[in-house]
Amino acid sequence: MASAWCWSCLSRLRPTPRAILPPPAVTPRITSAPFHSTAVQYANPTKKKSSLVATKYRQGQVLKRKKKAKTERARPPAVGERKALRKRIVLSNPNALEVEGMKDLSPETMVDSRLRGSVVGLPVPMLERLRAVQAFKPKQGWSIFRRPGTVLRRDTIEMGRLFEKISGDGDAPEKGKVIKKIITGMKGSGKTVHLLQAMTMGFLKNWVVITVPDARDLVSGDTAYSPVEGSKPTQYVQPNAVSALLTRTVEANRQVLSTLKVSQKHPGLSGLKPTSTLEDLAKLGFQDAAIAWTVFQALWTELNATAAAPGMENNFEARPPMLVAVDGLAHWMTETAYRDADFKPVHAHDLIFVQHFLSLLKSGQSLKNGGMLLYATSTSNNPSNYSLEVGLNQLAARQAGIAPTSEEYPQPEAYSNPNARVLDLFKPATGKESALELQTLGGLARDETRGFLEYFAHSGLLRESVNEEWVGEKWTLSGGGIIGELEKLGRHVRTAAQPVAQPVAAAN
Amino acid sequence: MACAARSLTRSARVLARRGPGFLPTRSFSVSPFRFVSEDPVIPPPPKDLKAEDFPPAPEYSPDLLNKEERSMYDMMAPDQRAEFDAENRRMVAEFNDVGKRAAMFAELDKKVNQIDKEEDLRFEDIRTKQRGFWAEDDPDELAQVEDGDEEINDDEITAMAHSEMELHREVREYARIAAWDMPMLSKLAKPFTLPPETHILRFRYTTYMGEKHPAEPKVVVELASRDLTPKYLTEAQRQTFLKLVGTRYNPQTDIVKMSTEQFGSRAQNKRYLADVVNSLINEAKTGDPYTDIPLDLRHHKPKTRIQFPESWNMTEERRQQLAARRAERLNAEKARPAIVDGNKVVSHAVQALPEFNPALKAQAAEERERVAVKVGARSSKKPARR
Repeated sequence: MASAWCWSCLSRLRPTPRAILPPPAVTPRITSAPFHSTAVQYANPTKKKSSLVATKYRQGQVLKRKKKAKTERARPPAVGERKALRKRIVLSNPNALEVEGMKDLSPETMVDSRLRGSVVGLPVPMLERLRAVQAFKPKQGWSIFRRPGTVLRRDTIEMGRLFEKISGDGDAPEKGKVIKKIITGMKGSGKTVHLLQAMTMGFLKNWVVITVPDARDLVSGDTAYSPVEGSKPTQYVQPNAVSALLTRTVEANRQVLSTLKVSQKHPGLSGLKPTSTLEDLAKLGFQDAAIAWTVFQALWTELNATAAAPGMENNFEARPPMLVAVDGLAHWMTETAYRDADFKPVHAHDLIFVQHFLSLLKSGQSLKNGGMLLYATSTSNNPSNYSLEVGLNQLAARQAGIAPTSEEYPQPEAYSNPNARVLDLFKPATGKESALELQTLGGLARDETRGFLEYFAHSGLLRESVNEEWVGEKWTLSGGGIIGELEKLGRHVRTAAQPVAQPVAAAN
Repeated sequence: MACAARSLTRSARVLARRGPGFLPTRSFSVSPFRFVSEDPVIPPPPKDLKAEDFPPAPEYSPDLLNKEERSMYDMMAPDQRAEFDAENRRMVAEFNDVGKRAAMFAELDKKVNQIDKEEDLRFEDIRTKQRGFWAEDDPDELAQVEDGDEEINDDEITAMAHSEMELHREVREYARIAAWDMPMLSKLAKPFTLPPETHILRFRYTTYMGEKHPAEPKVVVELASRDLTPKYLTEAQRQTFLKLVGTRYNPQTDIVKMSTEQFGSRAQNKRYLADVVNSLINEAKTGDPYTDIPLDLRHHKPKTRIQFPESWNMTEERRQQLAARRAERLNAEKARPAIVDGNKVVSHAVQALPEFNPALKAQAAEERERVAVKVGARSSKKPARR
């Protein structure tokens, strides 16, 4: 290695003067004239991003994650608001056209067979009372029309005549009779609306209308229950449900109940005066749920009284007939969601409320002042129940004239274990009068279908020409006039291509 | 002791070397000596018979033919038979003529010699490589010795092709059967007649087409329970019978079905089934009637075959009926005052209702304002409410 020393002069080699060297390579030379007058600067070297951040010496690596920023959400709807929205019943639609010349259901129109197939409106003052008895159900499509109306079908007019006969205008032999009917039919065949029509007719005829809008409410385990002391087998009372029933009944039948005075002695109810009306009596029940069942029993005896108790004759008035309407009968034929003390399911027939209404179906004059019992089955929320099925088949067979002793009479299959109490309900009546009947609602007839679809057209919903061919097509599509299917077909909003008037000059 | 034995054997060896001439007075074995018998005399190979040595052939007659030939002969047409007879007679006559026979044999010999000359046949003996004495019993793991099948003959077909050929042959065999023998089967056909009243049981056997199968001896019996009444059972007894057979009963077809394979042969199984049926009938007659127990049919899931209803068939009559009804309905429609048209309803509403018609709305508003002026006596152009 050569030494850095110059041996001749014994001095170190001098470094090259700085000015001669090229400038340091930190900034490259820019040979051409730049556009910018500012100095060139390079971007900082990119930092490596990583969630794992190396920490100081002898510290573990820590996983650091960014927390998600909380977004402010709208408050959830208040308790019960969603349910209220779900159960909301809208009976009017101001956007629908008003149907000209639509008649109201009235004592005259409900028996007029000339109006068969036309849609009659429910009387407007009646709507509040119908709401009170929960005759309308959500999703029934009332909200697409200007005002609620129902089609007068053959079954409706027949029912209207029955109402007239039982009310006894004139001297009809059927006055004060009891009609007991179980209403069945396919899905969408109009069972619930049939009950609604019956309730309207009951109000029109000044009957007392008592309804159980959904039989399921009593067995689904939603309301309180308690055993009745001393009953064997143990029966259960549902005070809140009875209280609600009393509320419904008073709301809807205030006109009738406020005119009738108490005519029997009720030792269990101390707050009752001899001059108080039946409305006052019922109000005791919904003020205090604990005595609701006693109050209901008292009200029932009052309504079924044919004569006053001794000493109370002075303000006795004849009691009107009654309409009892129950929807969703199948729920009352199975075991409920309630449990007894041994944690075995309670059968619906052990609920005293249910038992009361079911016992009315048994033979005999269960409503002393006459009236109608309409118990409808449901197909939309229905427990499958073999015993009920057999019972209804037996009922249908008896109605078709098959004797219960004959071979063809439907019997429960061996080893199917049907419920004896349910089958007992449908046993043939011992007395001839007021036997249980089965009414099966089918489809509308063609002319009724036409009237129904014309109502859609008149309301501005159906923009088609309602002619024979079209009606026939829809009648067939709806499974032979099943009214629920017809409604679906009618409410399909279709915008027909409107002929646009072309200016003549533009064509030339 | 050992020394004594050695001395004994030595003396025996010495004795043996002297040859068989000297027989020792005392030997170890008690049986007498015997020599190996001589090889049998090989008879000289039979000489080829000359043409003259053959015995004359018997005179031709169809009776002398063997079985197969005879069956073929029977199948021939008469003119073919005559031709066949003549040819055979000629051949026998030719054979029996000694001169002609000698000439024929000479011809044959000549031809054979000629073939030997033409075809150069050599039978080379390829010697395999010997591995030697020490490796005689060992397996030839290193493949030192060539196998016999190393040589590939290109003119041969593969094993797979052979099996393919075999298959083809089989197919052809069955095709021949189908073409020649099966038409004959129709002669054996009998017209179907229903089984007589007495034949209630129906047995089923299974063949696996010659293959071995464990279920070969299985036998199945079926009977319709209604066949048993009234000859064998009353109606009440039949119900008991059905309760006894349990899940073997099919209520939809009314057939009771039982099977067994517990015995080794079909005949035994069949016998057993017949005995079971007999004992069931007997039990139904004499045993507990089980009237307190309902017939259990839970094992059967009814099959419903949905068929197109006969009444829905579109016949000419039905078509006319429908057309008449339709015409009636259309006539009834003509009698109606008007047909509701949704479009017209809407367009009418658009013109007539002030909600939809701005002109009407404006008019209505104007009227309202006018009224307001009259009554309220205030300017209609109020400032907006605060």
